Amino acid sequence: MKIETVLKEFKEKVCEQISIESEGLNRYIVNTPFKFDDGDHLVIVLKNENNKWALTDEAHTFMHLSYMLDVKDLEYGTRKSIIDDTLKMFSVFEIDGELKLQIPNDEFGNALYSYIQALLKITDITYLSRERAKSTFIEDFRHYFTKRFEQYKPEFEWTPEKDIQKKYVVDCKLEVNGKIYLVFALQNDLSVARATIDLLTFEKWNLKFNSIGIYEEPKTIQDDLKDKLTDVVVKQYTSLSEDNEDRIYNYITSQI
Amino acid sequence: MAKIVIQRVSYLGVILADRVIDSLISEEKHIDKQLTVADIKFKYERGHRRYDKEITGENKSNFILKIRQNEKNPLDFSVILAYRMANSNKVIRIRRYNGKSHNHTNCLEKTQIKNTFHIHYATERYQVNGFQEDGYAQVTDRYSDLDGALKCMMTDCHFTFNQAVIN
Repeated sequence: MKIETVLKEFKEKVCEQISIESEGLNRYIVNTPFKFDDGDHLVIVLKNENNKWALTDEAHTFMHLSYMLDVKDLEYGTRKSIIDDTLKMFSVFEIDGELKLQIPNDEFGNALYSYIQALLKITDITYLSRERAKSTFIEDFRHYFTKRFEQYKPEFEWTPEKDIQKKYVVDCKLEVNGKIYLVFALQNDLSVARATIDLLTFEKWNLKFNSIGIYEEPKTIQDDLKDKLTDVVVKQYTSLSEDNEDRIYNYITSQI
Repeated sequence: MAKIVIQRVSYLGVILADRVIDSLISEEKHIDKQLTVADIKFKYERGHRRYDKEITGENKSNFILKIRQNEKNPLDFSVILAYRMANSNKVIRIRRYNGKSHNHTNCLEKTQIKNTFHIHYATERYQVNGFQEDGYAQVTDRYSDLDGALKCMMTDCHFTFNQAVIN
């Protein structure tokens, strides 16, 4: 098919503001008005390889996402499900970070339409990370302890034996080198207040443990609640960032 | 230390005022030696290589240097200086030096940059209007590869080294 015909189909099926530029052999840059939310336009390339046309981002999309979030976070949980479902829905496949759509039966216009929808859905992942929606923080918390402390068999939503009615729940309990660690995921005012009450109760019961609090975003918590928790919790971390993941692991495993 | 003007916009939203951004850019950032691409041990991930380095500025501000480069297209790269807000997991990109791989539109000014090297700047006005902090960009001819972009960033953002200060 002639490239002028391809362009005409792109304009008809998607929008008038599409243009194509040749850049290399059998390779065309497809300029569209669709953007990431920082104003950079999506990278879309029309390529002919082995007599087959395909649309590709040449691995730009995931690289661009990595400016705003840790690409490793896309490999599990809610974010991975969204990406996998999106790729399946729009017949896009991923090879080593490159998102590709083979164009069937010269249906260039329909293919571009689907491809753009897929890229835009995937870029929406940044809203999950930036706002740290409830589902992803707790997921991230559990994923971290499950993976990093696998050998110590972490228990989630743990309650002590004495708590028959299971009123005082701990997000994660670990036993490492003979010491008990009670770890709290501090998402909001309520979870901070609950952690404080739990720790005060366990103190009253003379339980022996070390306590750790990990905030999702400390700035969103009322100061007086943070102050009260500070009096009873042993160690606090302001986030579950990559660096803090190492610090938490080192802190727990190096205690004798 | 520069006082940060914070205006709560949404659940986790914060805004940096222009004078604070300027102050963060001007804050001296000391590293052992001047970085070049040849010196960097990149990690490889999903079609690109990446490098991240935490740096503490002279006024104890926390910065992150992020470098990304597409394995398929070496002109598709980004050198980012980000600021991590104190006691927060919020990271704000204050300067971004991009390669030549895509168009860019400045959403407020409605101007377009066509597939050439450009620099993104964090601005108060973009944040206030609900756009990404570094949504504003300008064309540049100061570099033509990743090494050049890295050098420009270190010059513009007041990096210093044990041996010399770049002017």
